[in-house]
Amino acid sequence: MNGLWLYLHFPLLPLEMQGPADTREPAALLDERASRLELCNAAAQARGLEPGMAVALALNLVPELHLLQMDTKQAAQQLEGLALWSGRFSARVSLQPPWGLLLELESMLRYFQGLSALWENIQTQLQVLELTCISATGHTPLAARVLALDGGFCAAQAAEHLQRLQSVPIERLELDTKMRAQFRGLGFSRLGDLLALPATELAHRFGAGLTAWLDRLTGQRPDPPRYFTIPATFLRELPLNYEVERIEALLFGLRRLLIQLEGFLRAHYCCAVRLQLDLLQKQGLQTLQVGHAQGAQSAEVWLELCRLRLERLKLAQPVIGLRLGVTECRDIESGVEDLFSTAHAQDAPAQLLSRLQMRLGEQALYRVMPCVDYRPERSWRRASLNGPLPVQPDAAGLRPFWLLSAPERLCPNIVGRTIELLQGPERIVSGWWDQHPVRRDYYIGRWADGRRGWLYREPDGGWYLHGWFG
Amino acid sequence: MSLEQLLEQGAVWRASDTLSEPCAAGLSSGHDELDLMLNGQGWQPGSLVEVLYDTEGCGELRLLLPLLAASRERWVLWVDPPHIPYAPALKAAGVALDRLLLVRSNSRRDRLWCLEQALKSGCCSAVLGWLGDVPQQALRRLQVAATQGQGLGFIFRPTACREQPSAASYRLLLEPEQAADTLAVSVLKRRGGWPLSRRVLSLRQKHAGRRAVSLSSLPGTASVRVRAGG
Repeated sequence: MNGLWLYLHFPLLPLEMQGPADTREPAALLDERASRLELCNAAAQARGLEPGMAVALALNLVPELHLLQMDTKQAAQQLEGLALWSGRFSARVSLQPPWGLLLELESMLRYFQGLSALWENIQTQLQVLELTCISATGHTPLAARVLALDGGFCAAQAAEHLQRLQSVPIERLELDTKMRAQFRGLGFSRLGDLLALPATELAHRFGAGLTAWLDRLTGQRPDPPRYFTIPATFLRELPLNYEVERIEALLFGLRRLLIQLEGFLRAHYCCAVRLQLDLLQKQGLQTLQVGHAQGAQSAEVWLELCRLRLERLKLAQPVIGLRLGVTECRDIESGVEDLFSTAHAQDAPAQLLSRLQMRLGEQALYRVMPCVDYRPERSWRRASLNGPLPVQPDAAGLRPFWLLSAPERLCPNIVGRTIELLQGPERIVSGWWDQHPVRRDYYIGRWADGRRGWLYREPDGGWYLHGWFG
Repeated sequence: MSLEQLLEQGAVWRASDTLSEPCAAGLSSGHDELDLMLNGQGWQPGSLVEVLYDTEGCGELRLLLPLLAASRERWVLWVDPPHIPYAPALKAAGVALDRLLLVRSNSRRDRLWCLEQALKSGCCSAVLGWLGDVPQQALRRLQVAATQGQGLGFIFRPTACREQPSAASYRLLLEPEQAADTLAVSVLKRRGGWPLSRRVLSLRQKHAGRRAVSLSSLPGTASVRVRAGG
């Protein structure tokens, strides 16, 4: 089972996923019985706390310590979320509970142009994730795991991995505590000391389990991992252990969900058109719909749209959790973007439109199109942004570019004096069938300063301005 | 130190040099006289053009019509126009209505935000915005956004804003004219050149094969008078 594997070890995952945005605050995770600390973040460790310490002692040392409960179900969900995220590097991802992920890299090396480029890519993306992570490659899945727990390593060849494995301290191996004590008693301190011994002797003294483990480690026995299958739908929840009242703090958690979403969308080769974001509150929830005109994958794009949407929102109550789901998605069509006519474009047009819609509301953006009707106010209508406009025949007559939303009454005396009529009348009689009859004589008039307007006369002699030749 | 030395060092700025300064290729405005007034290059992408006029009806849209009719691929944004852009007339004038996007914002803040986003995005062929009195900084922001995204922005404001300083690269003052299809344009400010005094432009288009572009191309020209009440 030789190949190339990558193990990502997230030592502080449950803590960081739930923890506050500000990592400078000391926080610790309790074990299942809530008597001892299971994990401490860097700030807590700097203050002298360490895993295994009693809660009472820890609180004495750091009174403002944030204590978080261990939630195994939640931790499993978070790991799945990370597996979705890591789908961008490899299609074969395996969950390694509690806090690890195993990725098969051998088949991806050509796509990413070599290990060093891929490694660099992974490290950059990990930084974006803002989670503590130790990563290591291995020629077998187990070797990758052992090396990650020993502090990380990166190499391409099996020989290099075997070389590095020699120096792993036995204390760091995930073996029986009793067995480790035995090794210590025998004077073995490194994995290399064990590997140098004859296998039969080891099996005789320590049981076949150890030799099997060593064979899996070195690659002499196959060790196929169980791969993670990507769920068909995306609906994830992220509990916030703090009551959040400010939008910025929500965005921090939201970003994590969106990064998972991006992995999900990439894996399914589709893009999301509409998301539903639920802000979970102590009583009830607030639901938001966020849409993108053409659909997008990128977490950054969605984050910006969500931010614009959230800025318009008034939080009814503090938020204690986020839930994100995809309500509408579509397959990616290749060749949608225009390569040539948008030489300077930084954004896709759809992105701009989505951004405007998010801030101003969907009704605020529209197109106009002509309609078949003689009445000027009914010969145009609003049209939605998407799709081509239906072809309409050209209307008769000379029409102004500006139409007043409501005709403006003119003083009859000025027509013919200050307003000189240049052209007309054009009689429009229509609409007797739908309760909006018009019977008007339209003229083009020139105002004293030279402006040209479109005005009409009602049968009763009243004059109205209806448009400007802009 | 002699004058030649100063000139060599670039310490003295010569107005005559700027006129010959090569400008980036612009988009023709469709009116030869106006192109000449805009340094012979037409509209420059990456610049903000402030257009001052008092009320609609003087030819402010016909001035931009060639540009609007030429944008068939990219969006043209109209942010808060004062009246309804009348679709049948625009269509008859050759404007691609499927690329014309109207934006109605609720407040001045949103309007400015919207213009800035559109200019910055660089994916619109022109962005038209109707603004009243806005702070100087707002115009500067828009100008910076236009430069960033290489967008072309037109900001329409009343002539009362004429005395206010403005960061826009071009400032045009429009005044209506009595004769049909003409418009008086004064260039109050332009990039790499001196202001130009009032000139009367013809808005009639050379290749205007379509109707409704010209007000004098149909029966009932200025010479024909119609009596009121007739």
